[in-house]
Amino acid sequence: MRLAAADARRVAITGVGVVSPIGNDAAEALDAAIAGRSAIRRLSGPGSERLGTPLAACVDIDVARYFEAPRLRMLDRVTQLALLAARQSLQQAELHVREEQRARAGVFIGSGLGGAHTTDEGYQLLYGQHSDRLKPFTVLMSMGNASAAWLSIELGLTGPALTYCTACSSSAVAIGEAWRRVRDGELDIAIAGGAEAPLCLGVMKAWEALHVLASIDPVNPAASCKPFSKNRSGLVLAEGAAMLVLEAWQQAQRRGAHILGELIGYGVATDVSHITRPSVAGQAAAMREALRSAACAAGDIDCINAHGTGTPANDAVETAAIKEVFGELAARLPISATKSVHGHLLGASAALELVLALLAMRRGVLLPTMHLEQADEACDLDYVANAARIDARVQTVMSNAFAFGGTNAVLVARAGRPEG
Amino acid sequence: MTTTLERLTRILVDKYKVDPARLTLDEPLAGLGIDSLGMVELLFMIEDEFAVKLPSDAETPPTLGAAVQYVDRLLAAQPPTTAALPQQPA
Repeated sequence: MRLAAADARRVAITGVGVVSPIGNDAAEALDAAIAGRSAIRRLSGPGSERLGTPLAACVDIDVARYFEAPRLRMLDRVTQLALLAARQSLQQAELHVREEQRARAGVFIGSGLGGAHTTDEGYQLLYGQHSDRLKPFTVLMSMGNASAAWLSIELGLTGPALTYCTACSSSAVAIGEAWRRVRDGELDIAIAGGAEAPLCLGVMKAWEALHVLASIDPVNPAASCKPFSKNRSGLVLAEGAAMLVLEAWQQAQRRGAHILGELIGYGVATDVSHITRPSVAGQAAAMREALRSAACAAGDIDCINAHGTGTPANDAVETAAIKEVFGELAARLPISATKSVHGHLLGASAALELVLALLAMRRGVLLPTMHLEQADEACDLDYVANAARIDARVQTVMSNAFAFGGTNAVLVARAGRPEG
Repeated sequence: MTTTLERLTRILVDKYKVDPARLTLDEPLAGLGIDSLGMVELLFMIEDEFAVKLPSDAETPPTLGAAVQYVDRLLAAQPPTTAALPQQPA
């Protein structure tokens, strides 16, 4: 049941967690994003010789430190990353869900691929090694909802544990759908975000075959992802997870939570024009719906976290869509594309970028779009090129996530005002 | 020759990071953090390690000692390795 606008509840963000190529906690990732430190690397090691473009942004973490060995054996890498990010978010929120709260607390995870490493290993055994013996946990580790399921088990949350699979907008959808439920009074607590672990040979070869990956910058591989630059050549695959704790505002205030920010809007709209080619109309529709649900005018948005993949098609279309929605305001709107440093975490990207955008706002910083080397007449807005801007007066961010398949999802968040 | 106990111990240490000092014959396997689902995988690894086929309704040995006895019984009952068929002349 959707509440009337007057009864709709505010939704606080009280914790965030990040496990990413640019840092294994949110503060470390924010510092790297502000400094423009790219984690994109040329790959070496087994399998990389079979890649035409051996390039990715990997998470560097010793997961064995965080899980008992018998449990770890049951978790695909995507679930390991999801659980680690979620634990961080709950720790920051200092949230201990009480018995009577469990049914009104849920888990909302976005992931495009689920347990891809497990699927890949299974196929390797079956077809590569001609073994008929697949590991007993293959189904449990590869199933798309494994991360949400384990998270609900670990936290004892008995409300919905849902998984959203809309390719590169998956975690924006997960966060948005969680926001709706808290806003409308169905839930009081939601752990929402995304996780992706696509850096296995089968998935990387599949992406390679699609011809959307960036070529390796011959001088500096770390600079290979160049959103909005005329010489952009594509996206760079990455892995990681980011989670947010969403709480009913009054509950968060009552328990004295430190409120990082407020999620105020969410819009989703579908292209229906082409399976990969983005559309201005679809992206603009999602942005407009996000503004409408946030009760914001275009002029209320201080900055945009762009989808900004670095593909020729996305960046030009996203620029046109922003112009369509924001009109003459677009020229003055700072737009950041942090995929330039952390790569594209596919279904987890939107969650990571929302966290970075929110924390940057709290610090009064506009995040840079790195490696923007050449101006492009089709990308002629302010992309905060190559250096962060400090002392920025930014309160409200729009965060874009667009996807193959055409599901465009846009979130609007406001930096925390603890006085409420 | 490596004994069944040594081979099972190596699985538990390598795959489940069990402290070798804890591994006595009467150690309950459930106490090593391997739940009923984990036991499915352990039985799978036993099949691989000892090249035996466990019955689909294989019972879960409660202790390490019981697992050793169980594997030894299976090995003793295993039919002799079959000879390869002679190749046809080319």
